[in-house]
Amino acid sequence: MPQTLAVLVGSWLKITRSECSALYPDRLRLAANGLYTGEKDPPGAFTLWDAGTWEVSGPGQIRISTANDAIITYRFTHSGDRLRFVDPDGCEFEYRREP
Amino acid sequence: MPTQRNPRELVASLPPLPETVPAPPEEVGAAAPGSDDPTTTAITRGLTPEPFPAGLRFPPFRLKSLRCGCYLINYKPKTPSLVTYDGTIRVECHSAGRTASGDLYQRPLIFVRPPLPEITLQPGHPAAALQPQPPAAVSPLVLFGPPPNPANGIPIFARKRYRYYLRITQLLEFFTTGTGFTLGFEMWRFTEPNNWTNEGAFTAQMTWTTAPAGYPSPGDYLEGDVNNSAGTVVGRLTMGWVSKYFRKATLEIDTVAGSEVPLDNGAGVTWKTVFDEVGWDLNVQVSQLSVPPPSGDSWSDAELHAAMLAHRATVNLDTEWRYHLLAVRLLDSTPRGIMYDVGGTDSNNVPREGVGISSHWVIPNSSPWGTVRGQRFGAAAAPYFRTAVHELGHALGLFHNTVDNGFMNTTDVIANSCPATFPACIKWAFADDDLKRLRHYPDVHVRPGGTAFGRASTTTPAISPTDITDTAEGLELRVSPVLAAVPLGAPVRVDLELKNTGGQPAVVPERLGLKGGFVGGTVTDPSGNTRVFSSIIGCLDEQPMRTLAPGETITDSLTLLRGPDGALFPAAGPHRITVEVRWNVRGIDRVVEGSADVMVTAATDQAHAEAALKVLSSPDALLALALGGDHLKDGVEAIGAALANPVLRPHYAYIEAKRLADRFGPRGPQAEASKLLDESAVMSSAEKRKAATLRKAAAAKMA
Repeated sequence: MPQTLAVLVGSWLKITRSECSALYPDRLRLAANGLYTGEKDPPGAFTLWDAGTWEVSGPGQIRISTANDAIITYRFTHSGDRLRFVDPDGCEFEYRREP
Repeated sequence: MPTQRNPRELVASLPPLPETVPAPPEEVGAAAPGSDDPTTTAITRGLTPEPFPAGLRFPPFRLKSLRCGCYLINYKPKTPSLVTYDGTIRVECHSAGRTASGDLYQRPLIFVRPPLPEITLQPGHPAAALQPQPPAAVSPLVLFGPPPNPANGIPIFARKRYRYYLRITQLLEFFTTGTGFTLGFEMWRFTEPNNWTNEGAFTAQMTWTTAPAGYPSPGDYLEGDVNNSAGTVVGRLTMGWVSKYFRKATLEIDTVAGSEVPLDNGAGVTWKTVFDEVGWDLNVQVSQLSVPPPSGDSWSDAELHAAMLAHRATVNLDTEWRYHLLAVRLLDSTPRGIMYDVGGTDSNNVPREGVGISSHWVIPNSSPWGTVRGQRFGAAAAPYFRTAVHELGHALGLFHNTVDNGFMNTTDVIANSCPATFPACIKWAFADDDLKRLRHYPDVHVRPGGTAFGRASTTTPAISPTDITDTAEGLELRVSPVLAAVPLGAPVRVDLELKNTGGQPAVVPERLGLKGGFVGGTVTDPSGNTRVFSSIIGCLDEQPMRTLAPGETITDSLTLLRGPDGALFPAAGPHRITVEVRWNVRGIDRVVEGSADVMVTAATDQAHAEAALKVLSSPDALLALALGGDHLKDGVEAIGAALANPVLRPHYAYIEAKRLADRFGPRGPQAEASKLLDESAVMSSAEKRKAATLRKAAAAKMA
């Protein structure tokens, strides 16, 4: 199974409301077995991260399978209860760990 | 969706009913479990049958239902006069009734220049050298283009002509004894790239009439005026059945040399079986098997797209819904498969035409890859074919769906759900909500070259409604045929057992017979045709519910012969019966389902064949079975023919006994009826209980 990072496992809520981040889920659940699910709020709308796999592929890099099955590499930083991503187009968006 | 005629209205339209078999004491005043026939106990409670005047004959009535499948439709608004729309309505039949949706495309206009006046000049005339000039202000004639030909089946329209999604909110759910029904719908206007505006709610009083020439089923054609919400007639709608499928498409499969063609899962699941269940007429064409790789074994998305454009057959997406699947050795962007054609910004600006899968990815030799670990992907037929269907699902506008292990879940999620046995735990079907999307999404969300991937939504516009359904966890429905094999023409009896296998008490219907209004289902014949059945009498009053404790069961029985689509067991061969129990808890339908197979044996001789034909082709046979009245002359005659045949007699003995036992007219009842119930009579568990009551009543009379 993909290499995961224990500190990333859990449920995350998106706190960025930028236009470029609209494709990404409002709630992201990263599981220890390398699977994830993403969900918009309210549920049902399209999100680029809907379900699939995630793995940490290098320092500050995470590979996530997307809605059309392409696997894309994102940059990420993690600090405390915050998880920040940067997509290949430079869009930055941040999640807060769900209590 | 609201039913066209509620049960109380229906019963009010029926002739007065005879009384039923005398009920055992426990059934008086409250129907007891164990009643199997869709008859009149519920009806007669609270209603007082009027005696029939002697000699009065009741006219036979016929049930009409809206045939399932695709209808070619035309909507002609009153204004503007030069606008007309063609399209389709898809009518899905299920045990809860009908779900339907539609799309409208504006028909193109033809501008015809009027003929110019002929000017004949003599040679040498000074004006002969002058070009004749047309009159300055001649308006062209404007004509509608030709309508679709219904004989061609499901029509395909040009994408740029797409105008409306029809969200159908009301239609004939089951059947009517009338000549038409009310169709209710919303018209959602589409504008590029994905904007939708609800232009209001409309109703159309649709009436069956004979179809114009060209329709494959002249009896399945309706017309009606369309009214807006103010009741004003705003146009006219026609709809004629053209296909049992909802949609049609072509899948072209190309491969590089050495990549397997994904045609099936190695265990009988094929493109056809998958898409027949969806209701799509999918035509698979295997084309080139040696598409040259542009840059080695692994393909980028751009290379896949370029290869599709270069190597596929000639395509016109305005006359054919054609998708393309290319099997290559490896993919750059993912291990197994990809729907690379996501947007309208690629080299041909057309989204969702093509998908790719990889045959030479090696499945990791580790958990959770079950029995296919270490195999080359193309050699593992089941997951390889599943991925091909999954990617086509994306091209059809679907997203990932983790509700079950169906096609739109991801391979990783499924494998993790059964790490020791994968791929055995794959569900070889689309999830129910994806099935609904494929059947009822607006055309532009599913057709190639429609909206970009990610635009499809069940909320914008809202997809046609069905009842909110929740599969009842912890409940199991066992369906057991009384006989594993029955002769052609005989009704099929099944015993039902609903068991609470969970740890919590569950509120369930007290009765599972057809007259309770909670039970329906389907029968699939040897040719794959599926027909629905349901109670022909809905529940009249609040039906009793009960709490089923963990481990507890309730039992009941069904006797199946006909449904609104005709005979349920019309041919020899294996039939699959699926029974669905559906009840409502706080606005949410709860459903539990069970299935069984039964073999229908062929006619043993000419007499048997003739009797079977008589009973199978008589619509009133069901009513005679259900209602038991003498006024159903055709049905009584058909059952009489069956009784006269030694093969069928045991299967109809109880039905006839029940009819004779009805206190109806001057006939002396129970004794004659009781004679029919000898040891050969085939009866369900519930019928046996009623027969015992009947014998007891006969004995009492004799005494």
